[in-house]
Amino acid sequence: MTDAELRSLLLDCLKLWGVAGSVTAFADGLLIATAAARCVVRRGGAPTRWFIETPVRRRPVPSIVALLSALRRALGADGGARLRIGGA
Amino acid sequence: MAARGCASAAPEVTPVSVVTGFLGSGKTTLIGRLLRDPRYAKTAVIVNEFGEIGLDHDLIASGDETLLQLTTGCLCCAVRSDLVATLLDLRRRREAGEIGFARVLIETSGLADPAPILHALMTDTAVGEAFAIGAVIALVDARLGERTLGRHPEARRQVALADRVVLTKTDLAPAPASLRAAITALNATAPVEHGAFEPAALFAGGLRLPRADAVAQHTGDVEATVVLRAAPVPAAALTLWLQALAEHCGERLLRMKGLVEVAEALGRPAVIHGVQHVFAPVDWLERWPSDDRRSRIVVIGQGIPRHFPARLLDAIVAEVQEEMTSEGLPA
Repeated sequence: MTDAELRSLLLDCLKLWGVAGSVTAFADGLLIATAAARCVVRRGGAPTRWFIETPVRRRPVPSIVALLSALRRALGADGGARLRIGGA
Repeated sequence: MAARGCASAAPEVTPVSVVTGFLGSGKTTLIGRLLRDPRYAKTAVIVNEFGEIGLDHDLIASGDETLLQLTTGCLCCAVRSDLVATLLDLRRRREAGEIGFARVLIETSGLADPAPILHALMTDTAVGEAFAIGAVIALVDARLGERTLGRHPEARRQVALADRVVLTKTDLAPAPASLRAAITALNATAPVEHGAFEPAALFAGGLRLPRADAVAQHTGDVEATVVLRAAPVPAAALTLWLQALAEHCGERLLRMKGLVEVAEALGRPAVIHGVQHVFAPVDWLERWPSDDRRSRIVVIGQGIPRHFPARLLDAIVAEVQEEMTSEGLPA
């Protein structure tokens, strides 16, 4: 996934989470900035695909799915729904 | 195409169909007509009325059929447990020989969101043992429907969730082409019927799978997007995608249905079907219904960025394939 694709995906997520903010690409990552929080997303080598950095913590995450969940929490958005599979 | 529900359920499972539609769309009239038809005498009807004094049940001609009523409010708010209790009570009374019925029809209130009803039918284990979703039918007034759909998000959600849409009051005025276009934009897979509606369609297998040529459309804030993929999707990627869509779209995900060519089960498409964050267990077809084996998934959402589902799927598939390659598995 290119940085441009990741940026588009993160902008979509901000809309879904109801969070006003921006996503800016820089040399080795993306800065996600809102009125209340700032996070940086960087790529990591296997097995850690991504790092998410807040002013107080740098956290490895293993997948894009985990990255989106971690970012959602870091930005203070409401928790998402959990997938539920109905009975057979 | 009946992919799951009554068509594939065990014989003792009773189909439950849901008739929805905005206020005054003709739900009670349709159900009354159905119950006067001797072929549908063994129908249990659950009427969900909004307000303390129910009227609709008085308007439905009753004969020997079972007729029940819920008056505690709108099903979309707080009555899901009432619905479950009512269905289980029906089952108990049938098993005790007190009543007999072969199908159940739920009439929602005009303001109801059908999603919680479907959730109850999909997730309650005891209900699932005895009942299965038949079809969701949305009624739309041919004269007023366009204005109603434009003004009322409840009406748009009802159409978006339907397996079939029935235009009512077409004897008073023909349905304008713009109304049909608005309905198709909300729900490209639901057939739109009018006039002499055949009651059997209320209980026909519900889920309509998307055609490969379905395209993205929108009406107001509701948008139907289509995700098409020629390459098979790894099972792990499909699971992660559904989890992430549920997490990030939540209630915005009105309905999702599709056929997916799963990499680990080539030639046997997986049928996926979800309402908001609740999904039915994956069903597997024996074969593709046509030569076109592209995965196609329709996502009907409210305020979901148009390209989000496809972008998310691409990102997840790329990671999963990378992982499989690194472990020496065929990607």
